[in-house]
This record gives sequence, C-alpha cells and structure tokens, in this order.
Amino acid sequence: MISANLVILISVGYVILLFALAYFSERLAEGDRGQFLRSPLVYTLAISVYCTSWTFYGAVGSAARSGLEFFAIYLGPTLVFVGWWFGLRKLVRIGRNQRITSVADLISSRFGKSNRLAVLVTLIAVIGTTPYIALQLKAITTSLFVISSDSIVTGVGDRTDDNRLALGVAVGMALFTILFGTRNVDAKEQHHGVVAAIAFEAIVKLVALLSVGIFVVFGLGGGFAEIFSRAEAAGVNVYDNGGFGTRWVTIMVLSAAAIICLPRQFQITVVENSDENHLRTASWAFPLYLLGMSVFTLPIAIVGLNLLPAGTDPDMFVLTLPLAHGQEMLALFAFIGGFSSATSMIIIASIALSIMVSNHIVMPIALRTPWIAESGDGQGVTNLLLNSRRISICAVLALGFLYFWLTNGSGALARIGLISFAGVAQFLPAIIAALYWRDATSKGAGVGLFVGFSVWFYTLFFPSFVETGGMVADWVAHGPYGISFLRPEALFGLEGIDPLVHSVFWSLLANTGLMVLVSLSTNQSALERIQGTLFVDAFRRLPGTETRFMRSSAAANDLFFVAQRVLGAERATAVFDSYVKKEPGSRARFEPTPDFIAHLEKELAGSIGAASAHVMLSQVVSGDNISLQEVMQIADETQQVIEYSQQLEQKSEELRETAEKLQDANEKLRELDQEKDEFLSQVSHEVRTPMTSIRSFSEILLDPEGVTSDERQRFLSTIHTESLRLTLLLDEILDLSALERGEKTWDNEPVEVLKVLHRAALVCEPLAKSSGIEIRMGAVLENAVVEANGDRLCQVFINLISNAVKYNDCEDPYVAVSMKRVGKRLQIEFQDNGPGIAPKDRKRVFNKFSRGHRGVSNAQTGSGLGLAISSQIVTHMNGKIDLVRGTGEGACFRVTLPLAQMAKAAE
Amino acid sequence: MASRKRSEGFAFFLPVVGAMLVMPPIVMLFDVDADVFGIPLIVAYMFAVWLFLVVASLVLTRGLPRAGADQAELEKKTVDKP
Repeated sequence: MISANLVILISVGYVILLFALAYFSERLAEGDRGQFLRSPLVYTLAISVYCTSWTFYGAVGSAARSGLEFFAIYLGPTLVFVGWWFGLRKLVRIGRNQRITSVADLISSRFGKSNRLAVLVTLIAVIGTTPYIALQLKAITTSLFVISSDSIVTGVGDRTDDNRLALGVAVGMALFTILFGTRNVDAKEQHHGVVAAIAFEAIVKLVALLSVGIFVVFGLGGGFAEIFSRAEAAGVNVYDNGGFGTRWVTIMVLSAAAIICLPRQFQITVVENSDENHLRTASWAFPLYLLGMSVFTLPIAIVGLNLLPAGTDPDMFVLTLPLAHGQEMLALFAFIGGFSSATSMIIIASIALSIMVSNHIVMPIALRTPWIAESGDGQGVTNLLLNSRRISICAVLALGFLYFWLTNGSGALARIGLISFAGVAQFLPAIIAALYWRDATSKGAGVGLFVGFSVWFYTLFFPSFVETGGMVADWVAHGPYGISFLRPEALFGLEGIDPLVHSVFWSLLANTGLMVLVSLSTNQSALERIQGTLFVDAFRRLPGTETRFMRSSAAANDLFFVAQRVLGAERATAVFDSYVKKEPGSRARFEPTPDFIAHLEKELAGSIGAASAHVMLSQVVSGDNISLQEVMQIADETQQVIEYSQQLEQKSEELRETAEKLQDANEKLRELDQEKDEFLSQVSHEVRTPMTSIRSFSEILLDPEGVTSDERQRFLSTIHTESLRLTLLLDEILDLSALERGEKTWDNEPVEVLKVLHRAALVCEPLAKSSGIEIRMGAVLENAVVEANGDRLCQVFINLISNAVKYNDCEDPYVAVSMKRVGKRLQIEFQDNGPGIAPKDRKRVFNKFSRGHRGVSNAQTGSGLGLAISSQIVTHMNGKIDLVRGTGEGACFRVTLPLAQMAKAAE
Repeated sequence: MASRKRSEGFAFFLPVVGAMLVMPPIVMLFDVDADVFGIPLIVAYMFAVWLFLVVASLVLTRGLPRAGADQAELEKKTVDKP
C-alpha cells in the first residue's frame, strides 16, 4: 500500500505543476512564442477532455459488466469528427463569426438572441453536468481509497474521510479554475493557459492508461491471444455477443450528440478554437486518440476478472491490477492518470458552466437592475462579470459536491455518465435546426427543449434515485399515485426495453416533434430571420454583409461608454481606433455606421453573450428593431433592382442580336445589288450581239445597190435568225425572272418520268444525230411517278441532254441517262463523256449567263440561262439539281425529285 | 474544382459508411464465434473499422480546401457578381 498522505501530497504536487504550466503558457500565449499553444496538436489533445475518469476507470468496468458496449461511446464521436466537413466546420465557423461563448449562447443567438432560451439551456446544462462532476469527485476519492488501503477489495470506507477528501478536491479545483478561467473577460472567451494544462493532462492520462495496458497484457496476461482465450472463463462474452440492438445504437447516437452538446466539449471544440484549420488535424487525430484509449480496455477487464478475487470493483481494475502485483509506482502513475482525467473535466466543465450562468442569468438580471446598469466607472460590468463567474464556478462545484455527498454510497453514480449524455443530447435537435433549418423558430426550439428535458428528467434522471427508496422507488414500481400508465421507465405502457433506450426515444421524439410542429405553426421575428440566415448560410456570406438589413444609428460617445463598461477602457479604445483607421476622417468626427454597431455588438457578445449584448446596445442604439415587413421590403427592393438589371441585360442582348441581323441583311442586299448590276450588264451584252448583227445587216440592206437578190435573201434570213434568238433570250429572261420571283404557272401532278424522258430524247434526236451523239438509256424504272409538271420537266431534260450534246467534243460521244430510287425520292442522272467541267466552274454553272464550256469552240452557244432556269423549275417541284461526280470523265448532272404517293401505294 | 467536389462527396460518404459499418445489421455479420490470430473477430473488426476511419479521414482532409482558401474563393465569387 501507499500512504494516503503521500498520494495526497503527490496529487497536490501535480496540481501545482498544472498551475505552473497554465501560468507560463498564459504568459507565452501573450507573446509571439505562444504559437505552439495555438497548434492543432494542442487543440486535439484538449478535445480529449471527452475522456474523463469515466473513461479512464469506467470503461474497464463497463467492459467487465457488459462486454463490447464501451466501443459505442467512442465510435459516436469518431463518426462526428470524421464527418467534420459537414457538421463541426460549420459550427466552428459560426462560433467564430458570431463570437459564440457557449452552447446556450449559440442556441439563443440563432433564435433571435432570445434570453429565455439561453436561461433554459443553461439550466439544463447545469442539471445535466452537476452529477457528472460528482462522478469525477467520486472517482478521485474511490481511487485514492483503493490505492492507499490494505485490501484491494473495496469495502465500506470511512465516509467522513471520503467527504472531506471530495470537498478538498472540489475546493482545489475551484481555486484553479478561478485563477485561470476568470483572469480576464476576453472578446474571444479563450483560455490558453487552461487549454495547455488540459492538453498536458491528456498526454498524462493516455500514457498512464497505455502503461497499465502494456503491463497487464504483456506482463500478466501473456499477449492478446492468450487473454482473449480466457475471456469466456472470465464471463466476458466477446464471441457471438448479440449485444448490437437498440441499446448499442442509442449509445452511439448519444455519444455522437455529446461530443457536440456537452458544455465542456463545446467550450473546447468551438469556443477555444483559434483556427478553423485545426479541425483538419483533429478530424483524424482525435479518433486516433480515442482508439489509443480503448486498445487495452477489454484485456484489462478480462485479466482483472480472471486474476483478482471476486468482489473487486471492476471500475478500479486499472489501479488494482498493478497493486495486486506489487507495481506500486505503476499504480501511482495510473492514479495520476485518473486524477488528470477527472480534474480536466471538472476545470473545463466549470468554466463553461460559469460563462453560461454569468452571461445568461446574472447579466440579464444586472442589466435590469438600475444601480448596476447605471454605474459608470468603466470597470463595473467587467468586475460584475468576473465576480459572477467566480461565484458560478464555486456554485457549480458546490452543487457537484452536494450531489456527491447526498448520493455517496447509494451506487446511483454508476449510471450518471450516460444519464448526463442523454440530458445534454436534448440540445441536439435545436443545434441541428440552428445550423440547417432556416424556418425553425425560437418558440419551436424552446418548447422542444423544455418538453424533451422534462421527459428526460422524469424517465431517466428521476428513476436514477431509485436506490434511495421512498417515493422514487414507489413511483418507478407503480407509477405516480398508482397510475401504472405513467411509470417513468415504462411510459404509456412501453415495457420491456432498456430504460436508457426508453428515455432517449421518448425525450428526443417529443423534443424534435414539438420543435418541428411549433416552428411550422409560429412566425419568426425579424431578428430571428436575420440570425437564421446568418447561421444557415454561414459559408455563403462574408462576415459583415448582414448589416444591410440594419439601419441603426447612435452617438459615438454613448457607444464608447457602453463598450468601455464591458470591455474596459483599453480594449474599447482599441476597437474604436481599429475602425476609425478604416474609415476616413478623424476620431472626433467619427460617425458610427450600422456596420460598426454590428461589429461592436459582436465584440460585446464575445464577452457577455449575444442576448445580453443585444439588450445593452439597444439601450443606446435607435432604430435597430426594424419590423419584419421592413426587412421583407428591403429584400423586395433588392429583388426588384436585380430583376430590373436582368431585364436590361436581356434587352441589350436582344438589341445586339437585332443589330447583327441588320448587318447580315445589309450584306445580303449589297450582294444582291451587285448581282443585279452584273445581270443587267450581262443581259445588255447578250442582247447587243444579235442587235449588232441585225443592225449591220439592215444597214447593208438599206443601200439597195451592190446587193444581189441572193445576198439580200441570205441577209434577211440572218436578221430573222438573230431576231428569233433575241426573242428566245428575252423569253428566257422573262421566264427566269418569273420563276425567281416565286411565280409558278403550273400545278405539280403525278407524272411518269419515263414518258417525259422519252419525249425529251425524241426532241433532242435531230440535234444528236447531227452531232453524231448517241443517247444511251441506262437502268430505268418503268413506272416511277413523281410530283411535277410534264412539260416543264421535259424542258429540264431537254436542256440537260442538249447541253451534253452541244459541248461534247469527244471522238465517240454519248450521253447516258439512268434512274434510281433513293428512299422516297427518285434520282435521274445525265452522264456524258465530254470534257467535263473545270473544278473552279463547278460552283457557278447554275448561275445566270455562266457557260461551263467557254473554251469549247462551238457555234451553238446557248443563252447561258438554261441551267439557271432548270434549277429554278426543279426547285419548284420540291426537288434539286446537282452537279455530281459521275463515273466517267465528263459531267454528270443529277435531278432529284420526290416520288408521288401514288407510286408508293402501287408498289 | 472537380477534385474538390469529389473530396466533398467522399467527406459526406465516409461518416455515413462508417455509421453503417458499426450499426446493425452489418455489425451482426461479424458478431460470430470466430477469431483472427487469437483476437475475437468482432473486436478485430471494430478496431479495423476504427483505423480505417482514421486513415481515410487523414487522406481525405488533404483533398479539402483550407479555411483561408475557402474564404478567398468566396470573396472572389462575391466580387465577380455584377
């Protein structure tokens, strides 16, 4: 055994070490060298305040009693941290943007800076946490008793001694917390010294637990495999456990909720966070820490059950195993580890609770008390805050001690850990709604919290006193006043499930259900709506943009006065100066903008909470409370401006398009104009040639002498031929211009193509004969019928055949005609073996007056309008005429025409 | 940008998968009378899932933008808007 006095002395020494650590860290944090203290590592270690003595000692006890259940306590937080990107990151961002000081402040700030909500959350937090603090006190006293007693079997100790010891611990912790937790009132409620001490304690408890684990597994147990083979004998069921039912899921949900909602976790994770990027490290390092804390839990439990005499408290196996095997130094180290986990929880929890109590209960009362509210010495509010925090810390620890004193020996403490979790889990629906649900209202959150808390109190907290007997036992067994329907652990007759699952189910169901229901049926105030948007859209807005909804104004002097009272003269001056620098103009002419007022309110909120800061400022600021209608109106105006500018944009786009179209049209007009000019000059040219010959022959004939009758006859016939040519040309021009204007002097009707083709061939026969050209009929379709006009189609065919005849200067000339069906259309091809058409001319053969065979010396040149007319005619028959690459050297024209429906029906 | 979207997808996916792995019914598959190198299967499974979550989170975090960068990007977006 180790002397109790020695252990106490070592504990005191350890606390003094923490004092020194916290003190120097605080000093370091003020300078530049304190960078280490704001590192992600320290942050992660501090978060492990989650592992209290309940973890250190209790996890082994839990493993000994219920096997694998302890895993759930650590897997919940692991999942929350692994999913940091969607949950914790937003929480931390909001915490920093809104200068949130506690979980009560978060909920109150989101729901319109409601003080009523803040008080409710604070009360729940205090009631939920006090037993937890008592649990830590019990762990310290029990472990001290175990380490300093002769027998490792826990007997009934001297209760007076226990109480004295617990009181001593409580007082010591109060002293420590007051010294480092309430040194000053900061804009950011951060305590670098305390956090450094907590991080140090985190290392101590991890190393202590690992040391004991290694000793037990490799010193006593002979390795993991050996130990697990003895599990069955020890009564720990690790094979086919079957324990993964509703209780497993419930504990997982509770622990996930607790890592966010527990006041101490919120304090460390959100309030003490100095850089959002620290979460990146914590997201994997904290789960790893938890893993480290759990590796040896099961082996220690199994070995303890195997080796230690029956009756040994499984909760103390971490101490009793080394003690039973003479490892006193190791036991002492383990004791220090347990002491670390207990003290770190007490310190952070009491700081978090004291901030809540002073900001949300003491401050609002003080602000309504005239003699405090009007004392203007500049330090009044600061001192009031600090003193109320000191008193709150003492009160919280006193409550914890009281609870310990009242329940000591009843054994009720054993279940407190999970009961506490279930209590603070009531914050979860409100926090989730605060972060993600825009329409949640303050009334909804309030009703949900209150009812959820009440159900928790009645179904879980209250029955935990069952062992004290009396009324509690009676109610639990038979229901209040004998109404079995309302038995706390079987509400509405829901029997046969684990009391924890039962309570969590009913309380969270009532909490969430009522919050949603009431939120949907009540309205938000303007402030709630603004805050709701700021919270839900935390990542979409830049800090400061919220002020466009604020139209507040105040005198700079009044504001400075308020700021000075809360922040102290020095910091108030700093805040004002930092803003004056940004704004042009000297401080004397400084006009507080809505921007500045919002900024100042946040600075104040960082010290006294959002609700109190809002109340304080609204005493000197006028016009801050704008109605919902006004907010909506401002929003509407903005909306209108946006719509108007969108309309303008659309209009200008339309204008641009119109301008482009006009430009195109202009371009086309120019082209057409040029075409017209060319056409005119070409027509003049074409007309001039026959006119010239007619004129000259007529002149000759006018002089009757010197002309023989034979010659006269010849000249007259030439004049006649030329006149005919001229008439033909003019006819063609008229025809073409009519076609081009879209006039169609015929109706399309079913026409047999072969007949038309034969007719055209017949017409061309004489011409062909004279030129010695053969017209070959290739593959033809006997009864192909197209929609066309027979005469006009014949005109097209004649034109194509005669072209082929006219320009063919080959030795063995021919023109081949063939037909084929392609889908619903008919293709008729005219292939000759003439010189073909030069590539540069291919594009313009269908143009007016363009002759593809200019080089060919042939008297019988045409008007140059034939193809242009043919092309127009075929277009009017819904077909087209192309120059295609044929089989031979010569040109190949293809006429494509739609087949008549009738022909299809006939086939 | 595409890789960031993907990382965010995984960041959402990881805790969901983790929760599914440690909750019934999947966890029951491993709650059988078997062991791995002398360690009960269920215990080995728990630690394996746990370690997987730690490593996956460590890898994943590298793909997610840092808070400062995020803010700068947001500012840029806001400025870009007409």
